[in-house]
Amino acid sequence: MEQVINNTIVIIAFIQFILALILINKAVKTKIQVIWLLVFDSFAQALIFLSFAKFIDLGFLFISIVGMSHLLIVIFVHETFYKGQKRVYFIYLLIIIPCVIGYILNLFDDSMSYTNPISTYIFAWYNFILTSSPHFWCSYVILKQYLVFRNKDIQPWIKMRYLIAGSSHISWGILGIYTLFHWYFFLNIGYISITYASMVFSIAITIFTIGYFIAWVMPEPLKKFFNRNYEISDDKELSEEEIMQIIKKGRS
Amino acid sequence: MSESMISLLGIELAKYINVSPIASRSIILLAIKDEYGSIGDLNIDKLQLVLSNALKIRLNKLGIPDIDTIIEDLEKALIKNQSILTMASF
Repeated sequence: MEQVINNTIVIIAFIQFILALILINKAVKTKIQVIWLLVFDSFAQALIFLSFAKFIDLGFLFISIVGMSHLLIVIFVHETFYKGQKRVYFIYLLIIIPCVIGYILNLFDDSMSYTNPISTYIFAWYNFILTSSPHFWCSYVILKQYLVFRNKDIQPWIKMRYLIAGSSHISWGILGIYTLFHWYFFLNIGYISITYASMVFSIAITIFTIGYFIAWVMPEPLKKFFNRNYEISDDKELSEEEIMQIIKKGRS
Repeated sequence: MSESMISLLGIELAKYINVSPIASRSIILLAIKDEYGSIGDLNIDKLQLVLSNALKIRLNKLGIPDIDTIIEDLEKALIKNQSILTMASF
Protein backbone atom coordinates (compact mmCIF):
# COMPACT_ATOMS: atom_id res chain seq x y z
CA MET A 1 0.00 0.00 0.00
CA GLU A 2 2.73 2.44 1.02
CA GLN A 3 4.62 1.70 -2.18
CA VAL A 4 1.55 2.48 -4.30
CA ILE A 5 1.03 5.77 -2.45
CA ASN A 6 4.70 6.71 -2.79
CA ASN A 7 4.68 5.94 -6.51
CA THR A 8 1.56 8.08 -6.95
CA ILE A 9 3.22 10.99 -5.13
CA VAL A 10 6.36 10.66 -7.29
CA ILE A 11 4.22 10.70 -10.48
CA ILE A 12 2.40 13.80 -9.25
CA ALA A 13 5.77 15.44 -8.52
CA PHE A 14 6.84 14.84 -12.11
CA ILE A 15 3.56 16.30 -13.39
CA GLN A 16 4.42 19.42 -11.35
CA PHE A 17 7.84 19.50 -13.02
CA ILE A 18 6.20 19.26 -16.45
CA LEU A 19 3.75 22.00 -15.45
CA ALA A 20 6.68 24.21 -14.43
CA LEU A 21 8.39 23.66 -17.78
CA ILE A 22 5.20 24.47 -19.72
CA LEU A 23 4.67 27.59 -17.62
CA ILE A 24 8.24 28.75 -18.38
CA ASN A 25 7.29 28.72 -22.05
CA LYS A 26 4.09 30.68 -21.32
CA ALA A 27 5.94 33.21 -19.14
CA VAL A 28 8.53 33.83 -21.87
CA LYS A 29 5.91 34.10 -24.62
CA THR A 30 3.49 36.41 -22.79
CA LYS A 31 6.18 38.37 -20.89
CA ILE A 32 3.85 38.37 -17.88
CA GLN A 33 6.19 38.35 -14.90
CA VAL A 34 3.74 36.90 -12.35
CA ILE A 35 3.65 33.62 -14.28
CA TRP A 36 7.21 33.05 -13.04
CA LEU A 37 5.74 32.81 -9.53
CA LEU A 38 3.66 29.85 -10.71
CA VAL A 39 6.77 28.34 -12.33
CA PHE A 40 8.79 28.47 -9.10
CA ASP A 41 5.77 27.29 -7.11
CA SER A 42 5.45 24.22 -9.33
CA PHE A 43 9.15 23.42 -8.88
CA ALA A 44 8.78 23.86 -5.12
CA GLN A 45 5.70 21.64 -5.01
CA ALA A 46 7.52 18.96 -6.99
CA LEU A 47 10.37 19.02 -4.45
CA ILE A 48 7.91 18.84 -1.53
CA PHE A 49 6.17 15.83 -3.06
CA LEU A 50 9.43 14.04 -3.83
CA SER A 51 10.55 14.68 -0.27
CA PHE A 52 7.26 13.40 1.14
CA ALA A 53 7.66 10.22 -0.91
CA LYS A 54 11.22 9.92 0.50
CA PHE A 55 12.55 10.10 -3.06
CA ILE A 56 14.84 12.95 -1.99
CA ASP A 57 15.78 14.30 1.43
CA LEU A 58 15.38 18.05 1.82
CA GLY A 59 16.28 17.94 5.53
CA PHE A 60 15.95 21.28 7.28
CA LEU A 61 15.14 22.93 3.94
CA PHE A 62 11.77 21.17 3.86
CA ILE A 63 9.94 23.82 5.89
CA SER A 64 11.53 26.63 3.87
CA ILE A 65 10.41 25.09 0.61
CA VAL A 66 6.89 24.43 1.91
CA GLY A 67 6.70 28.03 3.16
CA MET A 68 8.16 29.35 -0.09
CA SER A 69 5.65 27.39 -2.16
CA HIS A 70 2.69 28.79 -0.19
CA LEU A 71 4.22 32.26 -0.26
CA LEU A 72 4.73 32.19 -4.04
CA ILE A 73 1.15 31.28 -4.73
CA VAL A 74 -0.13 33.97 -2.35
CA ILE A 75 2.11 36.59 -4.01
CA PHE A 76 0.79 35.44 -7.40
CA VAL A 77 -2.83 35.91 -6.31
CA HIS A 78 -1.96 39.19 -4.60
CA GLU A 79 -0.26 40.61 -7.70
CA THR A 80 -2.90 39.30 -10.09
CA PHE A 81 -5.98 40.40 -8.16
CA TYR A 82 -4.97 43.20 -5.80
CA LYS A 83 -2.66 45.60 -7.70
CA GLY A 84 -3.68 49.17 -6.95
CA GLN A 85 -6.05 48.05 -4.20
CA LYS A 86 -5.87 47.75 -0.45
CA ARG A 87 -3.45 44.89 0.11
CA VAL A 88 -4.09 41.94 2.41
CA TYR A 89 -0.74 41.56 4.09
CA PHE A 90 -2.07 39.49 7.00
CA ILE A 91 -2.03 36.45 4.74
CA TYR A 92 1.77 36.68 4.49
CA LEU A 93 2.01 36.55 8.29
CA LEU A 94 -0.12 33.41 8.32
CA ILE A 95 2.67 31.76 6.34
CA ILE A 96 5.77 33.36 7.84
CA ILE A 97 4.82 32.92 11.53
CA PRO A 98 4.07 29.16 11.26
CA CYS A 99 7.31 28.71 9.30
CA VAL A 100 9.30 30.33 12.11
CA ILE A 101 7.48 28.13 14.65
CA GLY A 102 8.31 25.12 12.46
CA TYR A 103 12.00 26.02 12.49
CA ILE A 104 12.04 26.44 16.28
CA LEU A 105 10.17 23.18 16.69
CA ASN A 106 12.62 21.33 14.51
CA LEU A 107 15.52 22.60 16.63
CA PHE A 108 14.15 20.66 19.58
CA ASP A 109 12.45 17.74 17.94
CA ASP A 110 11.94 16.47 14.43
CA SER A 111 8.16 16.76 14.47
CA MET A 112 7.90 14.92 11.17
CA SER A 113 9.05 11.76 12.94
CA TYR A 114 6.08 11.93 15.38
CA THR A 115 8.16 10.88 18.36
CA ASN A 116 6.82 13.46 20.79
CA PRO A 117 3.04 14.02 21.23
CA ILE A 118 3.47 17.68 22.28
CA SER A 119 5.61 18.67 19.32
CA THR A 120 3.31 16.68 17.04
CA TYR A 121 0.38 18.65 18.46
CA ILE A 122 2.16 21.96 17.77
CA PHE A 123 3.22 20.64 14.38
CA ALA A 124 -0.41 19.87 13.58
CA TRP A 125 -1.50 23.42 14.41
CA TYR A 126 1.31 25.22 12.62
CA ASN A 127 0.89 22.97 9.60
CA PHE A 128 -2.86 23.65 9.64
CA ILE A 129 -2.34 27.43 9.64
CA LEU A 130 0.54 27.25 7.15
CA THR A 131 -1.33 25.05 4.70
CA SER A 132 -5.01 25.89 5.07
CA SER A 133 -4.97 29.66 5.40
CA PRO A 134 -3.08 30.56 2.18
CA HIS A 135 -4.88 28.04 0.04
CA PHE A 136 -8.36 28.78 1.36
CA TRP A 137 -7.61 32.47 0.88
CA CYS A 138 -6.45 31.90 -2.73
CA SER A 139 -9.52 29.79 -3.37
CA TYR A 140 -11.80 32.50 -1.91
CA VAL A 141 -10.22 35.29 -4.01
CA ILE A 142 -10.26 33.34 -7.30
CA LEU A 143 -13.77 31.89 -6.85
CA LYS A 144 -15.14 35.29 -5.77
CA GLN A 145 -13.91 36.72 -9.09
CA TYR A 146 -15.39 33.73 -10.89
CA LEU A 147 -18.79 34.57 -9.41
CA VAL A 148 -18.39 38.19 -10.62
CA PHE A 149 -17.65 36.96 -14.16
CA ARG A 150 -20.07 34.02 -14.19
CA ASN A 151 -22.89 35.87 -15.95
CA LYS A 152 -20.73 38.30 -17.93
CA ASP A 153 -19.97 38.09 -21.62
CA ILE A 154 -16.56 36.48 -21.21
CA GLN A 155 -15.30 33.41 -23.06
CA PRO A 156 -16.26 30.32 -21.02
CA TRP A 157 -12.75 28.86 -21.02
CA ILE A 158 -11.56 31.90 -19.08
CA LYS A 159 -14.35 31.45 -16.54
CA MET A 160 -13.44 27.76 -16.31
CA ARG A 161 -9.83 28.70 -15.57
CA TYR A 162 -11.04 30.72 -12.57
CA LEU A 163 -13.37 27.94 -11.45
CA ILE A 164 -10.84 25.10 -11.76
CA ALA A 165 -7.86 27.02 -10.32
CA GLY A 166 -9.96 28.31 -7.42
CA SER A 167 -11.44 24.91 -6.65
CA SER A 168 -8.04 23.18 -6.79
CA HIS A 169 -6.80 25.19 -3.81
CA ILE A 170 -9.58 23.72 -1.66
CA SER A 171 -7.86 20.32 -1.68
CA TRP A 172 -4.69 21.84 -0.16
CA GLY A 173 -6.84 23.67 2.38
CA ILE A 174 -8.60 20.45 3.39
CA LEU A 175 -5.21 18.79 3.70
CA GLY A 176 -4.32 21.44 6.28
CA ILE A 177 -7.49 20.65 8.25
CA TYR A 178 -6.59 16.99 8.11
CA THR A 179 -3.32 17.62 9.96
CA LEU A 180 -5.36 18.50 13.04
CA PHE A 181 -7.16 15.15 12.90
CA HIS A 182 -3.85 13.50 12.21
CA TRP A 183 -2.63 14.43 15.68
CA TYR A 184 -5.67 12.71 17.14
CA PHE A 185 -5.05 9.63 14.97
CA PHE A 186 -1.39 9.64 15.99
CA LEU A 187 -2.25 9.35 19.67
CA ASN A 188 -5.07 6.85 19.27
CA ILE A 189 -4.10 4.64 16.37
CA GLY A 190 -0.34 4.96 16.13
CA TYR A 191 1.68 3.86 13.13
CA ILE A 192 -1.32 3.23 10.84
CA SER A 193 -2.02 6.95 10.80
CA ILE A 194 1.16 7.60 8.84
CA THR A 195 -0.02 5.37 6.00
CA TYR A 196 -3.42 6.97 6.30
CA ALA A 197 -1.85 10.43 6.22
CA SER A 198 0.14 9.54 3.12
CA MET A 199 -3.04 8.36 1.45
CA VAL A 200 -4.90 11.58 2.29
CA PHE A 201 -1.87 13.60 1.18
CA SER A 202 -1.60 11.76 -2.14
CA ILE A 203 -5.34 12.18 -2.86
CA ALA A 204 -5.23 15.89 -2.04
CA ILE A 205 -2.13 16.64 -4.12
CA THR A 206 -3.46 14.54 -7.02
CA ILE A 207 -6.68 16.59 -7.12
CA PHE A 208 -4.73 19.83 -6.76
CA THR A 209 -2.13 19.00 -9.42
CA ILE A 210 -4.63 17.71 -12.00
CA GLY A 211 -6.83 20.78 -11.42
CA TYR A 212 -3.89 23.15 -11.64
CA PHE A 213 -2.54 21.44 -14.73
CA ILE A 214 -5.89 21.72 -16.52
CA ALA A 215 -6.39 25.32 -15.38
CA TRP A 216 -2.97 26.65 -16.39
CA VAL A 217 -2.04 24.49 -19.34
CA MET A 218 -5.52 24.28 -20.92
CA PRO A 219 -4.77 23.14 -24.46
CA GLU A 220 -6.62 24.67 -27.45
CA PRO A 221 -9.03 21.69 -27.94
CA LEU A 222 -10.15 22.03 -24.33
CA LYS A 223 -10.62 25.81 -24.73
CA LYS A 224 -12.73 25.10 -27.83
CA PHE A 225 -14.72 22.51 -25.90
CA PHE A 226 -15.52 25.00 -23.13
CA ASN A 227 -16.36 27.63 -25.77
CA ARG A 228 -18.55 25.24 -27.80
CA ASN A 229 -21.80 27.10 -27.06
CA TYR A 230 -20.26 30.55 -27.08
CA GLU A 231 -20.34 32.83 -30.07
CA ILE A 232 -17.29 35.06 -30.12
CA SER A 233 -18.61 38.57 -30.75
CA ASP A 234 -17.86 40.31 -34.03
CA ASP A 235 -14.42 41.82 -33.68
CA LYS A 236 -15.29 44.54 -36.15
CA GLU A 237 -13.84 47.82 -35.08
CA LEU A 238 -15.97 50.89 -35.80
CA SER A 239 -14.43 53.95 -37.38
CA GLU A 240 -14.53 57.38 -35.78
CA GLU A 241 -17.27 58.51 -38.21
CA GLU A 242 -19.41 55.46 -37.48
CA ILE A 243 -19.11 56.06 -33.73
CA MET A 244 -20.09 59.72 -34.15
CA GLN A 245 -23.14 58.68 -36.17
CA ILE A 246 -24.18 56.14 -33.53
CA ILE A 247 -23.84 58.69 -30.72
CA LYS A 248 -25.78 61.36 -32.65
CA LYS A 249 -28.48 58.79 -33.42
CA GLY A 250 -28.63 57.86 -29.75
CA ARG A 251 -29.30 61.47 -28.79
CA SER A 252 -31.83 62.33 -31.48
CA MET B 1 -4.45 39.27 -23.97
CA SER B 2 -6.30 42.44 -23.12
CA GLU B 3 -9.29 41.76 -25.40
CA SER B 4 -11.45 40.48 -22.56
CA MET B 5 -10.61 43.50 -20.42
CA ILE B 6 -11.37 45.90 -23.29
CA SER B 7 -14.73 44.15 -23.79
CA LEU B 8 -15.51 44.47 -20.07
CA LEU B 9 -14.62 48.16 -20.11
CA GLY B 10 -16.69 48.56 -23.28
CA ILE B 11 -19.74 47.09 -21.55
CA GLU B 12 -19.16 49.46 -18.62
CA LEU B 13 -18.71 52.52 -20.87
CA ALA B 14 -21.81 51.63 -22.91
CA LYS B 15 -23.94 52.10 -19.78
CA TYR B 16 -22.94 55.77 -19.61
CA ILE B 17 -22.96 56.90 -23.24
CA ASN B 18 -26.02 55.05 -24.48
CA VAL B 19 -24.40 53.11 -27.33
CA SER B 20 -23.88 49.40 -27.97
CA PRO B 21 -20.95 47.64 -26.23
CA ILE B 22 -19.32 47.18 -29.67
CA ALA B 23 -19.41 50.94 -30.28
CA SER B 24 -18.05 51.77 -26.82
CA ARG B 25 -15.38 49.08 -27.22
CA SER B 26 -14.37 50.76 -30.48
CA ILE B 27 -14.02 54.08 -28.68
CA ILE B 28 -11.65 52.43 -26.18
CA LEU B 29 -9.68 50.78 -29.01
CA LEU B 30 -9.33 54.14 -30.76
CA ALA B 31 -8.16 55.68 -27.48
CA ILE B 32 -5.53 52.93 -27.11
CA LYS B 33 -4.30 53.68 -30.65
CA ASP B 34 -4.19 57.38 -29.77
CA GLU B 35 -2.03 56.62 -26.75
CA TYR B 36 0.29 53.91 -28.08
CA GLY B 37 -0.12 53.89 -31.86
CA SER B 38 -1.27 50.26 -31.93
CA ILE B 39 -3.07 47.66 -29.85
CA GLY B 40 -0.25 45.66 -28.30
CA ASP B 41 0.05 43.87 -25.01
CA LEU B 42 -1.52 46.04 -22.37
CA ASN B 43 -1.11 45.82 -18.65
CA ILE B 44 -3.12 47.54 -15.93
CA ASP B 45 -0.79 50.59 -15.78
CA LYS B 46 -0.96 51.14 -19.55
CA LEU B 47 -4.75 50.82 -19.53
CA GLN B 48 -5.05 53.23 -16.63
CA LEU B 49 -3.08 55.77 -18.66
CA VAL B 50 -5.38 55.25 -21.66
CA LEU B 51 -8.45 55.89 -19.50
CA SER B 52 -7.12 59.04 -17.88
CA ASN B 53 -5.57 60.50 -21.06
CA ALA B 54 -6.73 59.45 -24.52
CA LEU B 55 -10.19 58.18 -23.60
CA LYS B 56 -10.93 61.31 -21.62
CA ILE B 57 -10.00 63.44 -24.66
CA ARG B 58 -12.10 61.27 -26.99
CA LEU B 59 -15.17 61.41 -24.76
CA ASN B 60 -14.71 65.16 -24.51
CA LYS B 61 -14.61 65.44 -28.32
CA LEU B 62 -17.79 63.37 -28.54
CA GLY B 63 -19.49 65.82 -26.19
CA ILE B 64 -20.18 63.27 -23.47
CA PRO B 65 -21.17 64.89 -20.15
CA ASP B 66 -19.78 64.03 -16.70
CA ILE B 67 -16.56 62.53 -18.06
CA ASP B 68 -14.70 62.50 -14.73
CA THR B 69 -17.31 60.23 -13.14
CA ILE B 70 -17.21 57.89 -16.15
CA ILE B 71 -13.40 57.66 -16.07
CA GLU B 72 -13.44 57.11 -12.31
CA ASP B 73 -15.91 54.24 -12.66
CA LEU B 74 -13.98 52.73 -15.56
CA GLU B 75 -10.80 52.84 -13.46
CA LYS B 76 -12.65 51.08 -10.64
CA ALA B 77 -13.86 48.41 -13.10
CA LEU B 78 -10.31 48.02 -14.40
CA ILE B 79 -8.90 47.48 -10.92
CA LYS B 80 -11.73 45.19 -9.85
CA ASN B 81 -11.36 42.97 -12.91
CA GLN B 82 -7.58 43.24 -13.35
CA SER B 83 -7.01 39.50 -12.91
CA ILE B 84 -8.45 38.81 -16.35
CA LEU B 85 -5.36 40.43 -17.91
CA THR B 86 -3.34 37.48 -16.60
CA MET B 87 -5.99 34.76 -16.51
CA ALA B 88 -6.98 35.25 -20.16
CA SER B 89 -3.46 35.75 -21.45
CA PHE B 90 -2.35 32.19 -22.20
